[in-house]
Amino acid sequence: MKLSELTLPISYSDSCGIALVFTSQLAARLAELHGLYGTKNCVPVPRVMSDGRLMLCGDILTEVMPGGLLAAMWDAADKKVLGESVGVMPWAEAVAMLPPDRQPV
Amino acid sequence: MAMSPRTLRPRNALHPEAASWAARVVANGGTVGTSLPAVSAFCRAIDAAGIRSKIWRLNLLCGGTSGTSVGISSCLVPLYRGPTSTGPQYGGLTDAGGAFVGSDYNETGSSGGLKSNGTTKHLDTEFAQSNISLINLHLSVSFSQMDTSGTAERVLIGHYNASQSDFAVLRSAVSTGNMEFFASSFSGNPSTSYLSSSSHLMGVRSSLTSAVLYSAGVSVGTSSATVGTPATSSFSYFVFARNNAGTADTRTSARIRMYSIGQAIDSTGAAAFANAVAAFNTAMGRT
Repeated sequence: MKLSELTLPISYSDSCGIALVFTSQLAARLAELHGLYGTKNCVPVPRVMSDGRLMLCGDILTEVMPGGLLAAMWDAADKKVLGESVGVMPWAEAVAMLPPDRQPV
Repeated sequence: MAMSPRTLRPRNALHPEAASWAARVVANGGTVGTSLPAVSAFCRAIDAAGIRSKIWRLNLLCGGTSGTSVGISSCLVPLYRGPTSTGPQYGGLTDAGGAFVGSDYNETGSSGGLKSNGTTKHLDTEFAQSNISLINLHLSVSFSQMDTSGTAERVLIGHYNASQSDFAVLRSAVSTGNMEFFASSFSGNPSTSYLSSSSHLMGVRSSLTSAVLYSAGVSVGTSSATVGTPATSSFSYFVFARNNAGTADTRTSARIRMYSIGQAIDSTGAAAFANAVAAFNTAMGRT
């Protein structure tokens, strides 16, 4: 499923059940956009999955609507490209693809 | 007849540091919500306990409106950023919000505080480890909904640099079933069995041979093992995770109500600190 197939706005409870999945190239572009239009109050830090793709919790979509922490960044983004480039998958499946944390001391 | 200055002082005047916090919250796009009187009372309690200079950074994670972006913009503003309000300040003007959204936050009530999902969220204090000695250190967190899931350790606050002995973490350790405090040593660290309910947990290292873990102001673990002289690094303390040489890992999904970083606090101060935190939590309905 692609981001373009999601209907926004999305509720918090629904958004917590999905993960947004994308390439490192797109992550770099999103980081640029965040640098230009984002806020330190919400700094998404994607995690790398075992297949090399990156993931974030879908709940950040609750902050892209007007007044949200990521609204300015969302407004500046090419939503057509974003919609086709960002994959959507069930949260549990994405979490299962995360490498285990390095064993701490 | 001359009027006493005490008579002229408004009885409910805000503590200056609470007033400063309020101004910084507004500057960050937030509001003080219903928190301001409790924040002011907290400041007075800390002053009265004589431990203000020991607390170099503290965030009560309050203000704003529950479940909103404004709540996030408010709760990321720390109350204290240095051992005094006028001297050197450390770390970011705000905590960098690593992907927290409005619905992760409640200002008041039993679910008051900030809740992580344990997977993609943490705060970066931008407070470098090198700012403060690891052998004259306290780390504290008031929490509820402790995360004991999975098999990895879950760090409430900390940093770690594997190449040197410059690490300090306050964590729940699934492997041992304990809450633990580590500061510059791989062994001989104070711990206690899991705290199932909410608490103010504080780890203190006051020398190379003394570390204490407090829960609600009461010592629940001690260590007198001798540790090596720690190194220093520029890596900052993360909250809800460990800063592992620049990368967040061993995240927790706990709900955190406040955190602090500072110098070692003795047992009397620890009790007073816990009482001040408890009074704040009670005032905010965070019980």
